[in-house]
Amino acid sequence: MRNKLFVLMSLLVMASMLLTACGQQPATQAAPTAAASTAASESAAEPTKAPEAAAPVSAVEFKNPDTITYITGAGEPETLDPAWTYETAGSTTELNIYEGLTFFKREKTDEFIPALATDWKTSDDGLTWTFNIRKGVKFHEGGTLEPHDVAYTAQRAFLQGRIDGWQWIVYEAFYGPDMAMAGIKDFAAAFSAPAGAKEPPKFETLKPEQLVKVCEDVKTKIVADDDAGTVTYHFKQPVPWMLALTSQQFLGGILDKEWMAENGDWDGDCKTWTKYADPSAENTILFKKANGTGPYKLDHWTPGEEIVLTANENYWRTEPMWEGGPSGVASIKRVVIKNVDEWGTRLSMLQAGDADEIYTPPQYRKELEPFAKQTCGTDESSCKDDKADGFLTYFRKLPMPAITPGQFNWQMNVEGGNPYIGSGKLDGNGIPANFFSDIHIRKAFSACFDYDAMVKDALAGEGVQAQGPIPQGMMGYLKDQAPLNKFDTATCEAEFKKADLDGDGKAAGEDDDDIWSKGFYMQIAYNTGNDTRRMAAEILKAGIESVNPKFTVAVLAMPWPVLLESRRQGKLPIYVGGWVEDYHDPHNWVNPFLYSQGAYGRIVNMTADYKKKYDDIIISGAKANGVEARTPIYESIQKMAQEDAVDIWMYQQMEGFPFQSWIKGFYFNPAYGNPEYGWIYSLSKVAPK
Amino acid sequence: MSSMLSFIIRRLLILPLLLIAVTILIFSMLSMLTPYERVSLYVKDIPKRQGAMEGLIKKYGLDDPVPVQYWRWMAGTKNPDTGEIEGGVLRGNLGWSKTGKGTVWEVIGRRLPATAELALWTAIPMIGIGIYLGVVSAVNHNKLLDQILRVFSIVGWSIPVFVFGLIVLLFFYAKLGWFPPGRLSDWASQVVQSSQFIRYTNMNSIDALLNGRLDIFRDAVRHLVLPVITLAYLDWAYLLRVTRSSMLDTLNQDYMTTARAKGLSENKVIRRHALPNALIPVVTVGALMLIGLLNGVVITETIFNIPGMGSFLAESAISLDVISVLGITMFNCLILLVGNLIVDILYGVIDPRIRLR
Amino acid sequence: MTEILSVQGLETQFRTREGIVHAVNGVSFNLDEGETLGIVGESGCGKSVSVMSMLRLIPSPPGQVVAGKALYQGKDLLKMTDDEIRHVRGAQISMVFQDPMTFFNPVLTIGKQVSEPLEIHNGMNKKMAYERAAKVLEMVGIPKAKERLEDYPHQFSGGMRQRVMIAMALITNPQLLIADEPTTALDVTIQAQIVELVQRLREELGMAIIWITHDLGIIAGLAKRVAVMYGGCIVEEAEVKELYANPMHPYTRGLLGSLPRMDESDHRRLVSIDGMPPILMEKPKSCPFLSRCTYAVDHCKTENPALKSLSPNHKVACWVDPNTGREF
Repeated sequence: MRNKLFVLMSLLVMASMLLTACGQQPATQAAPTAAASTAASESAAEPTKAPEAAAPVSAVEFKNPDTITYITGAGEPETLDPAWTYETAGSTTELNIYEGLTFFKREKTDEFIPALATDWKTSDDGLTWTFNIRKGVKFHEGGTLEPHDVAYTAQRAFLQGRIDGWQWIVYEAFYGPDMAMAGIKDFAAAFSAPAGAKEPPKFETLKPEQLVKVCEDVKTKIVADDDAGTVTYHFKQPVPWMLALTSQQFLGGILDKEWMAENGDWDGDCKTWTKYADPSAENTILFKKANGTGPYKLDHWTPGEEIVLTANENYWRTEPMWEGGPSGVASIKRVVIKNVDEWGTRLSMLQAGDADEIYTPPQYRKELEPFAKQTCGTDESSCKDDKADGFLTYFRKLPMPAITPGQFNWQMNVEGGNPYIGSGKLDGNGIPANFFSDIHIRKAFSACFDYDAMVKDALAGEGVQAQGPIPQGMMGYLKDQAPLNKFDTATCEAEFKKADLDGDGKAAGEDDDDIWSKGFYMQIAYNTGNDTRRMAAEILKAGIESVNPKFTVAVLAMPWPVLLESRRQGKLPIYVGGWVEDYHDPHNWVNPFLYSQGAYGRIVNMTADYKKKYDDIIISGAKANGVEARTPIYESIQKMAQEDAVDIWMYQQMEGFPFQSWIKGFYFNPAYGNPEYGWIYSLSKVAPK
Repeated sequence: MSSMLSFIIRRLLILPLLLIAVTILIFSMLSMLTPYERVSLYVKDIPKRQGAMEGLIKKYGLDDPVPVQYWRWMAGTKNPDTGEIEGGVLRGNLGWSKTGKGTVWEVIGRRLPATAELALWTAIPMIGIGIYLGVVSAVNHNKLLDQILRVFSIVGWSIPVFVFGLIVLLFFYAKLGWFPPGRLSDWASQVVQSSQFIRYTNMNSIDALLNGRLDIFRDAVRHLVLPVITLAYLDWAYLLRVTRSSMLDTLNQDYMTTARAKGLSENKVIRRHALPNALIPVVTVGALMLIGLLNGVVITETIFNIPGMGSFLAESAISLDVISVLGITMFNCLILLVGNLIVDILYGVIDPRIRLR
Repeated sequence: MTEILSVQGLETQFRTREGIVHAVNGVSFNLDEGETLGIVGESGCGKSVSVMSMLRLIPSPPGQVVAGKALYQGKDLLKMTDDEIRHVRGAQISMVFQDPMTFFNPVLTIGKQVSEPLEIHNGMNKKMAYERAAKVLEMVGIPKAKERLEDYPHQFSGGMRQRVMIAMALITNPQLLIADEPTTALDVTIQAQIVELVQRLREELGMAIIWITHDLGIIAGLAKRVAVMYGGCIVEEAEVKELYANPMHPYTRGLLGSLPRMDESDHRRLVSIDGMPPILMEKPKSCPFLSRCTYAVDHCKTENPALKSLSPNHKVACWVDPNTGREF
């Protein structure tokens, strides 16, 4: 009797589960009106399936015809304020909402088309740029675009300059590399420093007149003329990458001045700019609100859940952006971006048709290969048919502008003890603080790193060995030349033997007191959970330890904050860290890696002679005008960086983006903040027949 | 029942003191982090410029002495521009959660209903199946049914949550498409966010019923099936064992013999005499389990992409978001303390021996 | 006098990890309407198990009635269906148990528990059943009975609880009341009260009683006949006066000898019986009392004596006449 009751209960439970399952979402009508939804659910229409004839198995259900759903696994934006955003999640979203004066021509990173500017010209010395601003463009909230909006946007961004924001790029451009400070407060302090002062004053001590002066000076650099319909930029030295800047948020992301002021942001008054300086991410009005001119409007952002964009019905473009390009209102009416941390869940959403594209880290890319109906290169023209029963258009081997070197620390900090260098002496139990100042040590390490293994293991084959600091495809890359430093343990051994760390003039191979005979011990750290960095460390360890049993390399995991702190203190001997470009120009590659004040170069901490050598040539490259003048400079930097083995130039990664086969129009442009999404305006979602 | 009343009042009075003690404890632990470690919350990638980290530390006051930071968190700070005092726990403001991108209160308000909804629906199979099967198991002590259920129970106990969760997700969702992850389908999500839909509790299933939208209710329940099963199967296994042993214990009591000697059918003996006794510890265990669920369940939330309290706490902790961790922990403590109080009261209600002391 | 109960050759066994325990080894007795039978014996002799077996209250995985009959009003209780025997329990044959604390359900009110038999057997509604319960409680001497219906067992004292238990057993006016050591857990003064209560009720209601105890003193005033049990068997059965005056079984002799008596002048030492009761692991071929018997002869080793009538109101199961010391 009890058993019968139990069976009955289980049946009931299962039955109720089945009932809810059968009450699936109403078919393809996603109209959010009550009547439509209830009607559709009552009819329980079956969603259209992929064509049976061509694809009998694993036909993925076609859902949400007017929505494209991206599932990212890399986190959410911190804010949607273009002046604040310095990470890819935010800049990707903003790319579709806001526009700049120019834009990239389809997949080209060095050819530009007009956007909010109709045309432009530069002065002969390259220091002045004037743009004609397009008429008749409306913002999402109704305002009209005028030149003063463009000037306001750049001034606002400049003066907002949070600590560790991207504004150093414009500080450098307008005021020179010496003024490329970490934030507006430091900039204002340096700007207001009296001539010859040893140290800049503290920002808090600046008087109101001084602060006003900063603002007014900035306004002289960015000038709008509403009557003439122009905006003019005045730079301190030529900015060869200017059009890249106007195509991205750095000098793009155009805002509506009146709307901003109405909604509580800065109104342009030089007396009040400090109130808006260096805000926290959540403290600007553009944190979760947006008002741009772009093809998409922000519908809402619910942190932790989703970002939703809807097509701008009043988008100004009437002509195709390029031949065969999009125009008018966006084809895909709705964009949903969700963050799902777990790969398994993302994959299942792709298979269920709920996701149109999912973030696929390298180690999972092979898993999707069986589902690739077509495998493509950088755009659809290179697609080849793959699995007949697949459902993805899989773009593979896309050369990301992302280089990951193993950065040597040439002069390590030992203040307060340094746990990574063991004893800190040449006694076989440690390494001296200037270990990597010796070129032979650097070359040895560079030869003891198995680049192919790295690409195969860590990137699942999705990458190539980097040639130097400049990535493949960019000006300065030595075309058709293999990287100089190859994996060769014989070379590694030879270089170790040539080193002279104790400075006694005798090469280590013949010196009983030097590195080859004594051996050494060091630690390489990576942040817990980062498999790529871990593998790099272990591959390096394997190579080094294979040439001399007295060489010991310990690999250790540590929490991100600790790693960050050790690096800040300059104590890590080697740091494996990648760079993704801010704007598409070789300057944004050599500067971070090799410039003495660069983001990474600072920690690499080359010896004084090298610092001078690189700083000089980097500045000359930035100052030179025109591709013909600049190319040889950057090529020679690329060559030098290899010969000097400044870092171990480990790899350049390649990306793979799986799209449902019904998404059309994707092309790879490495200059987009996050090329994975593509320029959504040019995408369309076509129901399978 | 004035002794019950004074009992409740006493417990409620101690509550704020306990909470403050907890915050002091956590704050002290979190303060063992150096300012540079704490600032990493604001630095997701290598800082690009010299002095960036120092600037951020100064900006958020991370190198101030610990009691000063604590006081700031408790009492708020003065805005230099407006002269007003902002924030402060004592003024009801738990601070800004960088992880959740809202005030801590706000984010909790968004995430708690998701977790609460899970807990609510998990209660059904947990209690229905767990307790019911526990009784069945005990009554069929050592017979085949009992053995089978015990095996099931141990299996349920031993399979790791993430394995189970991913398996059911891949089978029922990726393969069959029946039960998706997340909370709502896209179309339902649009309806729920529109102005036509009134959000009473922020629990989609409940709100759907209150708005008279059966289609949204079904959609919400569809999304709940897998995470609830995953959560429940772990918990009902435990509840089954607790119920079983409590029931076995009760069935051995002398008063069961009395009941039979009075001529009651076995059915009535179990239902009227055994269950009320056996369920006393079970109810309290079950209630505490459900309350514990309100703290959130990270793994289940991660696999099924439910933005709940568990993932909130985990993400905050991983990024060393001290403010969020403090706020959430305080909130969880509050829930636990109130929950325990309720369970104690409940105990008094269902067990007359305790009630009339 | 009509016979209402006839137990014949009852055998009950328990499966344990160490083996089979033969708890009841061929127990037989009769009971007339309105008669009071005492069953006396020490712990473990099988007296409770016998009556519980009769009512099929022995938990069935370990225990099992393997032989015998228990004819109640001509029908064999052991062969009845579950439904049938449930109609007997609590309605026609009621039990009162030893420890009223553990034998009451702690979370149900007294009113509920006492009125329950009426709801089940007489189909009464709650209101009427509760009224009857109040009356019955008064009858057993509970003051303010009506108010106390909402109280719980732990709110009563030991003696009161036992009265309530008796009330609960008698509320359906059963033909037979079985009292399994009802006063063992109470102290002496309360014991007397309970005995007195039962006597009074017996006069008013006229039910038959089986009174199980290990206390010989109590049974004298209560029962008409007494059966003495040892090792799962009845070893002697006689009218009470006869038994006390003329105990024939060595065990009975030992029991009576071990009783302290008020009317004894000399301060003699209490005689205790050497040895321990048997474990009952195997079916005894010999007399169960063999190891402790001072009168044993060879026959006792080879065969377990059956109950034989020595006279119409005196049966004994022994080979030896203790008066002579030789076999009968």
